[in-house]
Amino acid sequence: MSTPGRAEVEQFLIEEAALLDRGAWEAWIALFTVDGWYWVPASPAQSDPFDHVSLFFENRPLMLMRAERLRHPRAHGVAAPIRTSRVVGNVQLVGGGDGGDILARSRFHMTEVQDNRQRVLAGTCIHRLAATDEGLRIRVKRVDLVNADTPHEAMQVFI
Amino acid sequence: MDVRTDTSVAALVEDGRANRRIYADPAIFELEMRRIFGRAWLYVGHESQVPKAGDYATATLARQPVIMVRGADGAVRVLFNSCPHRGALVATGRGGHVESFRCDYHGWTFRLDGALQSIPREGDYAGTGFDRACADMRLVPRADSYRGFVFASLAADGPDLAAFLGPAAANLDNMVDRAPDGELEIAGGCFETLQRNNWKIYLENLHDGAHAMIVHQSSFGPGKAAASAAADPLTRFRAEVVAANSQNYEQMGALEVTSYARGHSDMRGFRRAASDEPYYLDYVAKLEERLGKERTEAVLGTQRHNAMFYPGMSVHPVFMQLRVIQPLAADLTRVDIWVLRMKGAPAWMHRRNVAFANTVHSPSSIVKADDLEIYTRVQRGVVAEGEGWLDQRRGTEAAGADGARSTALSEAFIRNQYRAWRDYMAAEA
Repeated sequence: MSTPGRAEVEQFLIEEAALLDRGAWEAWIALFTVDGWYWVPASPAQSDPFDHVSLFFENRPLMLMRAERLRHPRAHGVAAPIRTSRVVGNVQLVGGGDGGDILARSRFHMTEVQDNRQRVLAGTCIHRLAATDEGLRIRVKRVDLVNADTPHEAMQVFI
Repeated sequence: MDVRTDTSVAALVEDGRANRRIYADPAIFELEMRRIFGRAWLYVGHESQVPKAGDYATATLARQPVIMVRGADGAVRVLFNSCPHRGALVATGRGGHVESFRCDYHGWTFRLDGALQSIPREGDYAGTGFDRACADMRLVPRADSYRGFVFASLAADGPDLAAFLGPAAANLDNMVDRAPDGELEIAGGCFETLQRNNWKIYLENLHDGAHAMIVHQSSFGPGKAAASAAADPLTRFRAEVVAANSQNYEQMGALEVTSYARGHSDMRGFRRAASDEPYYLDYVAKLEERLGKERTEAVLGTQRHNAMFYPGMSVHPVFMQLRVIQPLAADLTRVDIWVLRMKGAPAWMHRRNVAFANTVHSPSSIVKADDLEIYTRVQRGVVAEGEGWLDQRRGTEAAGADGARSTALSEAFIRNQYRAWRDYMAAEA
């Protein structure tokens, strides 16, 4: 595929957010390369996911494990369904990554509602994207929450 | 009720049952803060957080702000984090390094041991009756350290730290002994988490082997599938940690739990800790260099899944996790989870323990998510039938050398927690 521009990357990120809002977990996971990673650091500017704890640090098998649990009829934590609404914006291409990858930075706001409670999560996403014959694929999605290091209640769904 | 003298509250717990009121009544919560958390030894931090003179870390004990600081003399002290002048926090943030403390309100400065150093325009106090000797930052009544773990008590009297920990201290010994260099350090950040439940509901779950196959049904199946599909060892490890909750009643019933004096307890390990990975074999070899083969086998063979130091701390010795339980309100509890790094161990040992924390202690844990939901349901349900009682009679216990032996299917450790609760709450304070 030819190198996508900012508009195509933005469209991809909007569609990605729509899959998450719909709870189409497997379709979302399929956007990742086979060796792709999803990472939500637990500290601002955290450089390392191995020697420091992370809110999420999952490859595809672990993402699928989470997705399978979310669909399980005895997943008590989601007996009351989680509904989310994401807004993606401020999309910037911030230079190429290794081997022709695209590095995109964007901002997001996500409102989450469950069982009469509502919270807002917001922050910056860095997507390292590969342009493949099937379209854009995510090698790494890093989500830096503005409140990464404040006390948190459960986070059950991907951000 | 008069919070100082009313001891009738102790009658809300009997051997084998607890009144529902103790989980939701704000007045009882205030009493607990005063009589339990105000007396027990509470974990403050680890000495490795303050390696040099002037290093400090802030913490909270029974909702009160404190500072753990290493003084010029090398001693670690615990100060109330409040200026004696107008009460402002003196240290802010999580920690750092100072030459001396300075209150940012009127600029009073204090030495690392809390002693007043200077007051701008101190001459203005001349003839006012102000007593400079009474203007130090206050030390928390008692502070002590056990093999690097720093504890403090808000009460001037009571058992010393070693007596308080009792035989349960063997769990802390085991953690330190597992380090090839014989030392641990806090490393790799901290999960700060909130639970919408009374702190006791959380403690009652810690060795409860009868909940796992019910509560964690949604995750252990996916965990098993992920473990068999995993292509790399770290993914397999994380999936196996999730899958371990599938153990049946028979297996949980074979898991030994020991209850000690003052509400402490521990449970044998049920997650595989050894590994065939080269880094693990390297680790064992390094440990043998220090301890010898026989002693290494004994240290690594002491497999305890977790240990509870009532009322405010729990550790997973094998995976080097440390949880600090801070009640914030009758229905709100904060739990901070730290990882300790074994000095001298191969890097992947710490990485594995970080992966363990990510899997079971992260706010995103697919295991914990269902626990948290059930704790919330208990909190919401327990206010029904305000005068009713909750049962804790499941399973028996037998006297052992250092504590009462039971299994993970017995509620003996819960009864033990409530004996401690009653002892603390029955004494005026």
